Amino acid sequence: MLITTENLVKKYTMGESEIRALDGVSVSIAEGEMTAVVGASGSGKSTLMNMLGCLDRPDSGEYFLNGENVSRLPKDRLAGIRNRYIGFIFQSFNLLPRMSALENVELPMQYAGKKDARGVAERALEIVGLAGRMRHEPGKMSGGERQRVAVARALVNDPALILADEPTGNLDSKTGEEIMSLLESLNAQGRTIVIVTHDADIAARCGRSIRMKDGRVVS
Amino acid sequence: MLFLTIIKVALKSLVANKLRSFLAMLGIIIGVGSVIAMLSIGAGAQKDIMNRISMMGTNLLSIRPMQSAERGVSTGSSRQNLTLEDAEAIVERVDSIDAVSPVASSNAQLKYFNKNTRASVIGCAVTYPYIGNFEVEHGRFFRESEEESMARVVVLGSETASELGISGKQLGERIQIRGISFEVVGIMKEKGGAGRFSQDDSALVPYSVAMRILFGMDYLSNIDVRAVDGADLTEVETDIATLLRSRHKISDPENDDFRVFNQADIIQTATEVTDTFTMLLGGIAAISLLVGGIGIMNIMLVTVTERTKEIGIRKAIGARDRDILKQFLIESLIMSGVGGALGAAAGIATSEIISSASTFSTSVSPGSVALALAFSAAVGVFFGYYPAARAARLDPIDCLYYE
Ligand SMILES: Nc1ncnc2c1ncn2[C@@H]1O[C@H](COP(=O)(O)OP(=O)(O)OP(=O)(O)O)[C@@H](O)[C@H]1O
Ligand SMILES: [Mg+2]
Repeated sequence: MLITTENLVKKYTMGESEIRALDGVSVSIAEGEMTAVVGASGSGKSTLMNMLGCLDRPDSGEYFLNGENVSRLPKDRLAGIRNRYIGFIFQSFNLLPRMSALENVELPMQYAGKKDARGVAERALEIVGLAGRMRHEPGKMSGGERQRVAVARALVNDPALILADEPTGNLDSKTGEEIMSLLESLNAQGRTIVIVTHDADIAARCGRSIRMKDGRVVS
Repeated sequence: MLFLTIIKVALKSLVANKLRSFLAMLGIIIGVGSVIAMLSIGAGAQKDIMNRISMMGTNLLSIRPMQSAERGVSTGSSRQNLTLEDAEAIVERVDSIDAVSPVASSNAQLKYFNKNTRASVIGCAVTYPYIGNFEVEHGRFFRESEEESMARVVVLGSETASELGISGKQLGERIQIRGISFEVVGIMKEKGGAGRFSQDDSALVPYSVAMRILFGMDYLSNIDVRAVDGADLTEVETDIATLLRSRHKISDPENDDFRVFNQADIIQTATEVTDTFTMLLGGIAAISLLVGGIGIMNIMLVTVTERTKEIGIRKAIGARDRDILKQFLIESLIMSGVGGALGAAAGIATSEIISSASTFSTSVSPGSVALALAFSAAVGVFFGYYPAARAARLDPIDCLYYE
C-alpha cells in the first residue's frame, strides 16, 4: 500500500465548540490507483487531503506513506517528503504571481536542489500542452492554462502521489475535461492520484471513490 | 534553493514595489550617507593636523601652562604661570637647545581699509619661523632690534594677507590690529592645512608688542623650543622640567603647573580631539542607521503579511522553514545593501560638496565606506531577522487558505 491511515483525528476548536474535521479516518490506497474523495461540503475532504499531503499533522492516529510512519515527523522532514513524493494541484491554482510559467514549474526542483531544472520544466510544460506559453505570467493566462501549469509543477519532481483538491472546480466543463484527461494519462503511466471532487461524472471515471460525511469515511 | 534564484526573486519583488522599497531604504541611505560624510570630516581634520605637525619638524618641544595637580590637556591661555624669564632661563641653563621662542597669542580683529578679518595674533620671537619651519614669502620677518624697540610691525600668514587683500606689493602699508596701527613687513609662505588647524590664518608680531601693547599680558601662552639636531629629546624634556620646577618652587612633579609636550604628545592630543569629534559625529549617524533599520523591519513585516499565500505555496511544494527564512532575510539584506550603496554614493558626494563649499577639508577613507556598508548589511540582517523568522514559522495550511 502506498497510503495507509489508521484512525486519523483532526480537531478544530472554535471558541466553545469543537469540530472534528477528521473523526477516525482509516483508508488504504494502493500504488497506481486513481481515487476520488467525495462528500458534502464541510465533510473533511480537504482536511484529509492536507493530511495525506503531509501539510498537516493529525491530533491522533497514524499515517503510513510508502511504509513509513510520517504522522509525527518534524516539519523539515515533512517539507522534504512534500517536495519529493507529493505533487499538489489546488482548486485555486496557487501559482506564484510575477513569475513566469517556467519559473513556477522550476520551483519544486530548486527546493530539491536539482540541476537542469530549466530543461525538465520545459518538458513538463510541453507534456501539458503549454509549449508556447512558457514565458507568460499566470496573471496573463486563462484558468485552464493556469491549472495546466499547476499540473506541470506537480509533476516535475516525479512524485509517487498526486493530490488534486477540486482541480476542475474553477474551470468550465470543457477545460475541466482537459485537465481530467491529463490526470488520467498520468495515472495510466502508473502514478497514484487522489482527486477531491463534487462532480459525480469525474468520480465515476476514477477507479474508486471514498465518500466522507462529518469527518468519517462512510464508504 | 539556489542562492542566485533567491536573489533574483528578491530583486523582482523589490522592483515590483519601487516606491515602497525606496522609502524603506531612505533611512539607510541617509544613515550611511551621513556616517560617511561625518567620518570624512573627522578624517580630513586629522589629516590636516598630521600634515602641519610633520611640517614642523620632529625635534620641537612646546611648554604649556597647566593648572597644578590637574592631569590631562588644557587649553593653556587662561593659566598665568609661564613667564619670559622662564623662556630666558631655558636658553641659558638647558643643554642642547637650538632656539627658543616665547609665545603670547590671542585672537584679534585685523583691519585694512574696509576689509576685516579675525586672525590668531601670535606674539613671538625672531626665532619662531626657524623653530616651526616657517618661511617668509614676501618681504622679511621682523628683526631683533624691532623686538627690542617694540616696533609695531607684523608678518601676515598667507590666508590672513589674502583676506585683507594684501599681496607682496602692499608691503609697507599699515593695518590695524585691535585698533593699533602696524606696518606690514612680510607675508609668510603658505603652509597648507585648512580651517582651524591652519597656521596660515595667523599674524605674527614681536612678543614684546603682543604682551605689553596688544594684549596686556605678562605671562606666556606657551614656550616653543627647538632642540639641536640629534639631541636626546627625553633628556632635554627632563632638564626643562627640572629647571621650571625649581623656578616655580615645585617639589612634587604631581603638582607641576606646566607640561612639556613633544611631537608624540601633540599628535596624541590632536588625535584624541579628532577621535572624540569623529566618534560623536559617527554616533549621531549610527543612530540614523538604526532608524533606517526600523524602516526596513516595518516594510518586511508588511511584505510577509502580503505574501502569506506565497509562503503557503512555497511550503506546499517543499520549502523548509529555513528556505523561507533565507529568502526574506536576503530580501531585507538586499534592501539594506542597495540602500547602503546608494547611501555611500550620497555620502561621498556630500563630502565633496562640504570640502569645496566650506573650509573643512574632508577625506573619505575606504575604511569608513566599508564600515558603513558592513553596518548597513548588519542592520538588514538584524532588523530583517524578526520578520523573516515570523514568515518561516507560519503554518502552511493557514497560509494556503489565507485570504
Ligand atoms: N483552519 C480551520 N479552523 C477551524 N475549522 C476548520 C479549519 N479548517 C477546516 N475547518 C472545519 O473543518 C471541517 C472540514 O473542512 P474541510 O475544508 O475539510 O471540508 P471540505 O470537505 O473540504 O469542504 P468543501 O467541499 O467545501 O471544500 C469544516 O467544518 C470546517 O469548517
Ligand atoms: Mg475543500
